[in-house]
Amino acid sequence: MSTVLASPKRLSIAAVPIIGMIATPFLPFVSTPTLWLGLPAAIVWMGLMIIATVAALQIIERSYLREGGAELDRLELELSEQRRAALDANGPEAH
Amino acid sequence: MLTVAIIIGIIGIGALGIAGRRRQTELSGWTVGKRDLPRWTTWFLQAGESLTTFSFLGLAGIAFGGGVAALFAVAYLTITCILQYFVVPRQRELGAHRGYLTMADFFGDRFKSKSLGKTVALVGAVFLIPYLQLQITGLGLIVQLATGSESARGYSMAVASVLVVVFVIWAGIRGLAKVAIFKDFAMLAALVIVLAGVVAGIGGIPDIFAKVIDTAPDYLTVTRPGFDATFWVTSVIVTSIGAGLNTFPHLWPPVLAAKSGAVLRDNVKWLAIYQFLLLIPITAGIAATLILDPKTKGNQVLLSIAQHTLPEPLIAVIAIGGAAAAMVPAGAIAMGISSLVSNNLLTVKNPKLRFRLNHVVVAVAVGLALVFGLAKSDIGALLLLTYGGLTQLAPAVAIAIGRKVRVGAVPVNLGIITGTLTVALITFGNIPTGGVDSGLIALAPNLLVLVIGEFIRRRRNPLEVHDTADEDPLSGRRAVGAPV
Repeated sequence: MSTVLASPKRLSIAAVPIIGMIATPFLPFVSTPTLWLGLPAAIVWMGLMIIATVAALQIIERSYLREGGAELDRLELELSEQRRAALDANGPEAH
Repeated sequence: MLTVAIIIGIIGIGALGIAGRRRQTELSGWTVGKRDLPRWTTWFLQAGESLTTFSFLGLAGIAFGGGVAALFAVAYLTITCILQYFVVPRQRELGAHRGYLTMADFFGDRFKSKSLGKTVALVGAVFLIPYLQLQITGLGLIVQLATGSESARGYSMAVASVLVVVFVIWAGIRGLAKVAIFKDFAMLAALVIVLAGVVAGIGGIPDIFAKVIDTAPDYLTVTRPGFDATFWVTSVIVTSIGAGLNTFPHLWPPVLAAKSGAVLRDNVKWLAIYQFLLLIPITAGIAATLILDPKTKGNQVLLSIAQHTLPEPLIAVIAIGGAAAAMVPAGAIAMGISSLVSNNLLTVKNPKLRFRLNHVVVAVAVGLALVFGLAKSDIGALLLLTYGGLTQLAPAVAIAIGRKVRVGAVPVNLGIITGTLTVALITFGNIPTGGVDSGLIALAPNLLVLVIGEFIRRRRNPLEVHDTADEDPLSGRRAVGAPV
């Protein structure tokens, strides 16, 4: 259980598509001219990596929300509302 | 007729940015609104960097020369989504808590150093000028290639530049968001039309690749000269680090303006899907090897193939989509430059005067980029520094998003300067790197100087621990740092 978004478990899940994409030129079906379903294997592989990325981030998000992230999101929104209300009352942010 | 249609399209894009928006009257509202941009507005602003003139002109050109190696752009943009999922909510959280308007504010505050903030502002503003010129020159090239008219190139660049200045000054980030929405739909339409043209003019997609595998099979591997595995791995790593850690100053306003970190996470966890669109110019670039002269310049490939396969009205749609792809990033870059100069480089206390100066900087930056573009000045070498140079900010960003910052500003500053000078030395000195990206090479001396500098700092001042934990009750819990 961790409310740290970048926990080792979540980073490991995120690393899977990253490694898949960086390693692309060394994959046997990319290092030799190959067609899958009439398309270059490299293009199909990259399409699969895009889908894997979306899937990995969905899994990470669910794990984060389940393990306390949802409550932190709620608190952050509350804090933001308070800041906006103060901004409306006091005028633009000073720098 | 085609020129008139395209110019009308460009004027329409500019009008869209102004329509229905009240004029912004102060810098924070202009730059980050009320920090309450909802999901879809933020979505289109965040997606801005995925579809630019590079998607139109550059990517098809790389595929024309390097085949499937052009997929490296899909790889780094997708990896960027993963890294940003972890990084940008924290940057937004700090920004909301500490009132940042720019990336330089973040550096200055986290390392408690105004001089570091000024260094970052100067480096960011200077390196973004060539990037701004690239967008405006790209727009001119798209119109010239579509119409075949040199004068249309100049007119379109001038008209688009004026409109960018007007809508950016008038409506700030909200005007930019409105045009960004149009841009994404226009780009989608343009790319689908290009794909339809390729299929109608050359043959079905499987037929095209069957011909390519017979005639030039190396287009289907990452082995073409200049586009080998070394190019792939180093380019993907260095660009992912730079973009993933959000080292481009013009990409900060959408992050700082977002309603919450959850909105940013929600967006980036889906944004990777955009990269499917980039497969179209890559396919078109590879298909073009079957019908275009091999000597065709890379950035002319996409529009040349469109002219071979499509009727004039559809060329106009593609050109307007390309113009939008240039105007939105141009507006964001102009905002990035002006806010860095007016908020971080100039010391002006009067808010109204500062806001007016900000407008002047928008006009000067776009004007400079236009003049360089019209004069066809070669500041392309500086652009090489843009990517490699800004990536040198990545170690400092990684340190600064932690719950506590335990590294001094001077070592960080020295590391950034060393890294940037190394990129410049490699680029201007034409030092052979064996295909390894100069930005990645420069990260080594950058980190070395940072580590040595920090070691010396701690030896000289053992009692002075640079510790800038922020006081936000949610600080760092959602990004990095200790669990709750």
